[in-house]
Amino acid sequence: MMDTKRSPTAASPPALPVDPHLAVETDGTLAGLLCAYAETYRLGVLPVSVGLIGEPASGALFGDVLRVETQAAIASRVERGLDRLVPGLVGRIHRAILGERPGIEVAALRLADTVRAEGAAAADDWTFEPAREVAQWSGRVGREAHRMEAFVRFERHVADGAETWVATARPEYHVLPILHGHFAARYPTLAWRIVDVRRGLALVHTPAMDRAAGDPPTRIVPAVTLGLGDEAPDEAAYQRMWRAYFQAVTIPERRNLALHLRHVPKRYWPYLTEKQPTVGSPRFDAEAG
Amino acid sequence: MRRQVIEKLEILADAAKYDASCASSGGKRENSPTGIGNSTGAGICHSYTEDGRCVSLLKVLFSNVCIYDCAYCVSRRSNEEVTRVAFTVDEVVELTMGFYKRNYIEGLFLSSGIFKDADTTTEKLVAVARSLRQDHGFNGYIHLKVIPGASPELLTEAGRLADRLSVNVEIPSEAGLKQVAPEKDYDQVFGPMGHVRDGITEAKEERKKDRRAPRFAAGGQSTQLVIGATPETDRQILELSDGLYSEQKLRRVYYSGFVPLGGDDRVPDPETYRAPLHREHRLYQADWLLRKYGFDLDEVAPPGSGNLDAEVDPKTSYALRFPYLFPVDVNTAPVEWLQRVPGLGIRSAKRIVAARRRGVVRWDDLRTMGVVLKRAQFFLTTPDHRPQLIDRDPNAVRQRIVGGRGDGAPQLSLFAPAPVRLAAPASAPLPKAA
Repeated sequence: MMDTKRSPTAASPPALPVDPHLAVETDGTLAGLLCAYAETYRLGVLPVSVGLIGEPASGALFGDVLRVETQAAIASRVERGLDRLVPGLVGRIHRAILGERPGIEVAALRLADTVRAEGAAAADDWTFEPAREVAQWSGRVGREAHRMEAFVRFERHVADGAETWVATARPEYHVLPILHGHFAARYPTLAWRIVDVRRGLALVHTPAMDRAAGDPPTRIVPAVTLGLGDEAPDEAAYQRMWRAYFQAVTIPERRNLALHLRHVPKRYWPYLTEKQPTVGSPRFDAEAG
Repeated sequence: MRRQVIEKLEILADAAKYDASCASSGGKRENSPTGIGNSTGAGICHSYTEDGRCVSLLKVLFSNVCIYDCAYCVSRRSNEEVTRVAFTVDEVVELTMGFYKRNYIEGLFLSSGIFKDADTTTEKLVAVARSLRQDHGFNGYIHLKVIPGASPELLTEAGRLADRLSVNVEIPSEAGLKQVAPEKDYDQVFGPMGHVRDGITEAKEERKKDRRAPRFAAGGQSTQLVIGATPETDRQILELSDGLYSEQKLRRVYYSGFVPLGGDDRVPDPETYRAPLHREHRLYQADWLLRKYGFDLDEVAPPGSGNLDAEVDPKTSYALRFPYLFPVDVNTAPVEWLQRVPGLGIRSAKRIVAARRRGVVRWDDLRTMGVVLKRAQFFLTTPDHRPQLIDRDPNAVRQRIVGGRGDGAPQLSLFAPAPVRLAAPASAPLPKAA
């Protein structure tokens, strides 16, 4: 077989070089990154770093900082183009950047540009570093989001006669932006919120009957802006029943703590109802445990 | 009232825990704007027990009162050590809704002791599902256990309401079943299983014609086999599974290593068997090869082979039985062949195929891609890796794998590259096309 790894397809211009002096700044969103790609493609080079607007840039040796304005129309044009080449690629890039890993945006731009220049096969070629990095980070963030879908525990709170379902979690990565669809489809009629205590943010859902037409069902807000109601009278009973259930389904003869820990790492325990003691302090302390 | 419910929950969850099925996948139920829950995705494990099993569904018995006396079952009539209790329909419904809204579970897995006859028992299970769906707008996952001998009308209603139905074969041979469960026979099991199969097939046909036609157990049908309570071999067990997949169109067969419950002489002392847990693990691996990797039964467990190899996984065991089929060339082998390499999974095989589209894959590329090479190194070649041990001495490969010395640097060959293989020998079991 011929080594074709670096030979571009005939139709598209070759992959762009990285300019070691060019840094770009975006608003940190996926749309911002897609606009950055449109902007740098126009310049004919890729940036060496992608930072947040207003934060000191790192990576670029000196000089050029390009500030990218996020424009929805441009972002969606780039998104459509990439998704036509590789279905699902934009979602993969989105998950990857939510890992908040320095440098991952540059890898994403290189991947997008290589796919543009050399075709879809580059996206799944793990010997190509940007493709591998984006896939791995997308996998990590996706796994954490899936764990949140599994491990988030809602508690029923009541304030002024209205009920709210409140969950707190401490996700490793910034997964709130990719959790809304799952929970909104599942609990469309409940007012629920998921608080990310690591980032001080909350994903808040408002049922259709309580929101103005045109308002989105969910939004992400600073957690401090939220008031807490009182725990509903039946909440403690349900938590006790869940713990009783969890105890009852274990088969003692087969106990395998190593396996258990692999599935439920200790960092999730403080927020899991089944890991709280039945009486005493309201929260299990992972460090002490 | 709560106190009572919590005690029932403890007893009836404890009695249901030996049922291995935990799947919440395969459902195709979307939520409505005013409903609660859905079961469209791949299924979610919301927690894991301390023995490492997934907790996805609220898995309980409706009642542990049972007229049957099956030696392998904790709820058997003659067991005087259990307290007999039963939920009400409303209690199960309320628990399911309360747990579901708190995101503890994906849904309900409801089974029951046979407290009267098959239909009376099934009617209760159906009543719970009906209330959840109709009174509470519940669109989460429901798995109902089919009680052997239940009437077709009830099964039809159960199938409309549930995402999955299952009837447990339990004992992998009818002779074995007769020994330990005198009131049961295979007809009682396979009658309802066939009815459910036909219901599923029919509903699928109907939906091809009319997209609004009602679904019927869209998550498919499953069953469970108890391993080690009776003397069937792994080959016999897999023969049964293979038939269940091809003839009964089952989605899953679960294997449940027998946990001695004590106090019943009809069940042999499990100590005299190989550890059922270890067998259970190998059976799942073999089952996976049958369902997902395109292996034939005879390739995984040759006729008359008894039990699976305890020392190595079934795929390695296959490769060692057919050494002349290996090593395979990473850069040219069809993906079905790559999947047959011990240690390579479906994902690794796909990654290799994706990478070689863009160039030659070398040994270090495999490492970079995250392919696990501990076992695979003996069975595949790259331009810079040409193992010959599998040709010269398959037993030595086995020793290296079993001894854990399969790890580390690739075995570099001192001799000329292996001759090119034009075709596998005529007797070789070729992989099926994808």
